[in-house]
Amino acid sequence: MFKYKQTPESLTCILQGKIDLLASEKITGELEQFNLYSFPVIVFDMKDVIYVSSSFLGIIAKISKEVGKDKIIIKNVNAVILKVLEIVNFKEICNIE
Amino acid sequence: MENEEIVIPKVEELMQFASLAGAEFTQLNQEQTDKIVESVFKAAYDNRISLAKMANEETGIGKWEDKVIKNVVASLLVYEDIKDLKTVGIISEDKKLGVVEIAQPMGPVLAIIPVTNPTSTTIFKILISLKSRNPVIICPSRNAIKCSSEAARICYEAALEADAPEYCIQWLDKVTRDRTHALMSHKKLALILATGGGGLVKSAYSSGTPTIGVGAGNVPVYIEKSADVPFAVEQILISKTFDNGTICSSEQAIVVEKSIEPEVEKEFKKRKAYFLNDEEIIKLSKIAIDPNSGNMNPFIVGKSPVVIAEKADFNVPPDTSVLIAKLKGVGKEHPLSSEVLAPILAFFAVDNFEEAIKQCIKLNYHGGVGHSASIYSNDDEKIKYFARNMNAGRIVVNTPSSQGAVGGIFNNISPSLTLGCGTGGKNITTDNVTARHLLNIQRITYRRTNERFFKTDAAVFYDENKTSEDILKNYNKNY
Repeated sequence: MFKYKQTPESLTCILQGKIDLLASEKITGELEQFNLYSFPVIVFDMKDVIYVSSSFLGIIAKISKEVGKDKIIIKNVNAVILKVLEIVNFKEICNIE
Repeated sequence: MENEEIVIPKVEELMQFASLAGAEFTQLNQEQTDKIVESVFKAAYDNRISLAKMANEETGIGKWEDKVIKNVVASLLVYEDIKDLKTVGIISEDKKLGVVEIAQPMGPVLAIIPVTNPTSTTIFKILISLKSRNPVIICPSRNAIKCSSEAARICYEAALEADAPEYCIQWLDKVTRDRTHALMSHKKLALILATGGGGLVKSAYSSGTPTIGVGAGNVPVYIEKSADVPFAVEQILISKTFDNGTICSSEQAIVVEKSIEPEVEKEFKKRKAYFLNDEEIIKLSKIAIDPNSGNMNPFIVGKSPVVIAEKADFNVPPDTSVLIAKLKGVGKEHPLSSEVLAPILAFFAVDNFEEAIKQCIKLNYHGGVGHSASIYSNDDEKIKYFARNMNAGRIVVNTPSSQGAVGGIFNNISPSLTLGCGTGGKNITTDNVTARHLLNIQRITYRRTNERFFKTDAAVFYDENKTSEDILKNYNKNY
């Protein structure tokens, strides 16, 4: 369902569809295979994402707390999800491109 | 005082979760929202009896059988009222005026729950919050934490089953003044729905967070001489004995004209009402109202007439329906003329219609401004005169005022367990609060020019010699 691209410079998580509670749990499990501290940047590519749950937002918040705001990039969000990120003030905990 | 080190992280966590849920909610459409509301309604309705029994057992207030009805109102009737309401996206479109209205959620709601209706108000506030896509935090009364939390838990599980955002319903398992105040003033909180005592409502208003509060009641019921007296008395008793008088819109004082006083008294006695003698009035006054604060004594709220009489040190027959005190005036010197949420009624007999209206005004302004008033009459002119002279959001006619003001059973006003009392009660609305009050309404306004404004010679607006009449002549020319 989700794809992950890793290079020495970054880990890119390419997400798609509805990121509900179940999808969020899957992402949590899948991210466990990576040592997140080892990447200079972690990118969440949201180009094909149509919905994000509070659980997914919780995952981003948790990772940001662990590795630091500067290392997290959320990109290609649609307008609806951009509004969601603004409501929870995510610009304070990650970089939204 | 609770340790700040405990309070702040707990409150931060609640608000963080609520904020995330609120953000997720913005993505739901009407169909998804309605599915959640239906699921919650069904779960609440299915648990109406167990929750009513729990509430009665935990608080010792009222009657569980009547609390079942309260739960039915809060679930079934509220659901029926809001289910077809548009609360997502475009809710109205007027092409002629060029105005389109769009409903947006407000954000996290703090729902303060009174001890008198601990499960019904929880269900009600959850339903209207979810219908408007707002996450809700339930703040129970300290004396009803178990039953309110259980009601919230049942609703939350049902909401999740219908794919609601996680944490869309949260509840406090420990209620302290510090925790409540920290929540009320939290920057992420969008709205407080404050139903409860005056002090709590006032501190909600003072928190800086927008608040829909309620005021206290002191409901006069006027049996006008054209009324069907046996019917009126029966209806008043249906209302005042309901859950032992715990609804704030229940009748507090009966006003009648002397010409029908004997008939009214006879009908009350026929239905087991107990008229107190002077000595008993003094005894009851002492325990019903705190002489220092002027507030009702919480230990008699929702208790039966027999228990109240025992506490006041006199006896009444075991089947007594209500206690009635014939009083000589209204005010602090007559404590039983104040609001008491128990089966106690004040009684006044006056000379004529005009005196009756004056007596009702005095009662209305003795602690019940903006709330509700009740009249039994078959004279519409008099009903309307009565209504114009009351400062009350609801004037219920030929109807038990407890159930009538709440709405949905005896009339067609919105069923609600949060009754706005207008500015008289220091509230923003006189409405029965419901889902539509929990929406931010955006208005798209398309260009529709004001023809008269543009045809008017603008110079007249700047000419100091032109009067308003001159301007209006110009403004309305050829129109």
